[in-house]
Amino acid sequence: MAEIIQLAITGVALGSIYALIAFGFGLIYTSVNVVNFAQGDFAMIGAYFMVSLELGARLPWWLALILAVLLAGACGALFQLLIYQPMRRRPRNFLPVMIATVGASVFIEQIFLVIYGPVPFQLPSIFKAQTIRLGGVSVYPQYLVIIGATAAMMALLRWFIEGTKLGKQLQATAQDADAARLMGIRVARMAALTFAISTALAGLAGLLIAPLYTVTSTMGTSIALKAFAAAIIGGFGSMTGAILGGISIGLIETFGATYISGTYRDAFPFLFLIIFLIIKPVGLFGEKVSQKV
Amino acid sequence: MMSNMLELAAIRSGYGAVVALHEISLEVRQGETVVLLGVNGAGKSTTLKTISGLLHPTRGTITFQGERIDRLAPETIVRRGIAHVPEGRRVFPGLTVRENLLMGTSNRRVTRAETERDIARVLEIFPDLERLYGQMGWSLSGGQQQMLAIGRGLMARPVLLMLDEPSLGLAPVIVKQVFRTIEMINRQGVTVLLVEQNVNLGLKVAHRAYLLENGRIIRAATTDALAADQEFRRSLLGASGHGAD
Repeated sequence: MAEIIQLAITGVALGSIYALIAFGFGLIYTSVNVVNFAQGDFAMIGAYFMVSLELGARLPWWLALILAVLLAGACGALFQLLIYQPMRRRPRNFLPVMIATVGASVFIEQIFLVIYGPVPFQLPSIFKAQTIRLGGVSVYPQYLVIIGATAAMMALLRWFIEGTKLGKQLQATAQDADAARLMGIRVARMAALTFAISTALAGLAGLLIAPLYTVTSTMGTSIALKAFAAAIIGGFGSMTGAILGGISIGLIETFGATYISGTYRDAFPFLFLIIFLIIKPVGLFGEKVSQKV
Repeated sequence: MMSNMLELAAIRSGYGAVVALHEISLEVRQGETVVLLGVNGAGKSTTLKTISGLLHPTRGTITFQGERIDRLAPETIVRRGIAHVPEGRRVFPGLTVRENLLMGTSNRRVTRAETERDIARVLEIFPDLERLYGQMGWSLSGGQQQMLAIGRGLMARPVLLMLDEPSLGLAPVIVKQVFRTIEMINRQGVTVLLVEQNVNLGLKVAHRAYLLENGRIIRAATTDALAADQEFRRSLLGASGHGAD
C-alpha cells in the first residue's frame, strides 16, 4: 500500500510537469491556431536559467525561480516576435509557422549546447532532505514542491484568465481576432502575451523537474512529447483537461515503468494515447476548442 | 454648413487581387445618419471594413476629423472614435453579455466607475440585455446578439457608429426596435453610418443615402428625395426583395 501511494505521488508530480506544458500548448493553439513544437525547449531554457541564477549568481532559490520563469516568458515573447509574427502573414500560414517552430527548436537547442557545453548540470532540490516521511510513506520532497508549485501557478492563471479584463481580452482575441481588433484590443500584444505565458509555464516545468534528472540541451524533447499527448487527451485549451491529461500520463508512465517494464516507460503514455484517441478523438474537454469561431 | 466628419476620396479597395470598390467618394457630416444602399455584393460592407481598417485601400484617402486614417490599424482607428458593428454581429461566443460589453471599452483607459456607468447607459437603451447579463454570447438569439453588438459598439463611446445590416435575420418587431434605437442614438449626438438592404427602413432612419452598384456610387441624395422618387423605389425594392414593411 505504501508503495502504491509513493508511486501515485511520483505519478502526479510527473503529471503536473506535463500539465504545465500541455496547458501552454493549448493556450497557443486556441489563440493563434498553431502548435508550437519548440515548447519543450522552453522547459530546458527555464532549467538552464535556474542553473545560472541559483548556482552561478548564487541567488536564493525563490528569487532564482521567479526570475527564471519570467526570463523564460520573455524568451517566449521574443520567440513569437521572431518566428510567429513574420510567418503568420504567409498564405496558408498554419504549416509555415509550425515548420518554423520545429526549425527554431533545433536552433535553440544548439545555441544552449554552445553556451552551456555538453556536460549536464545538476540542480539541487529546494529541500536538502533526501526523503521525508508522511505517515508510513517516504516521499522525495521535490515531488511535493512540483505539485504545490503547479497548483499555485494554475490557480494564478485561472484568476488571470477568468478574473481580469486583460484575461478576457486574451479570450476575446482567441474567439474572434477581427472583432477583437474592432474593439481596440491590440491583438499582436495578445499573441506576445499568450506565448510569454505558455513558455513561462514550460520554463517552470523545466526547472521543477530538473533536480530529478539532469539539465541538458535536449531535456525538453521527451517531456514535451508526453505533454503533447496530455494536451490531446485533455483537449486543447482547457485547463482542467490539461491537468487531467497530464496526471493520467504521469500515472501511467510511473505505474507502467514499475509494474510492467522500466525499459518501455516512455512507450506507455503513447500506447495510452492511441487507445484513448480510438475511443474519444476530441479529448476529454474538446468543446472549448470547438467554441472558437 | 455642417463640416465633414468623415471623407472618402476616390477609394479603391478589395480582397487581395479582387477589387470590390472602384473609386468611391463619399462624406458623412457631423450629426448625420447616412445610409449605404445597394444589393448584395455592391460593396457596402467592404466600404465599412475599409473605413474601420480591416481592409486597407489600394488607392485614395480617408479623412476622419481632419486626419488621414487610411493607413491605420483597426485597433488605432477605434481609438479615434469610429466604432464598427460588423456584419453577422460577431459577438464573442465564449464570453458573457457583461464581458462582451466590457470588451467594448478596450479602446481606452477606463475606471471601474466609468465602465459601470457606460454599461448602465447601454442597459437603459437595451433593457432586455439586463436579464441576459451572465449568459454566454453563443446562447443568445439573433436579435439579442444584435442588441449586444450595438451595445458593445456604444461602449467604445464612438463619435461615429457604423452599423452593418442591423436588421439582417431579425423578426420585424425586433427590427423596428433596433431602428428606433438607432434614431435615438443619433439624437444623442452620435453620427451614424448605416449599411442596410431594407430600403424602406434605411430611408426612414437616415438623412442622406448613397446608392452603390458593383463597387461604384451611382447616386447620392437626401432620403426625402429618394423616398419621393417612385422609379427609384420600384427598381430597388424589386431588386432587394423587401417589398413590404
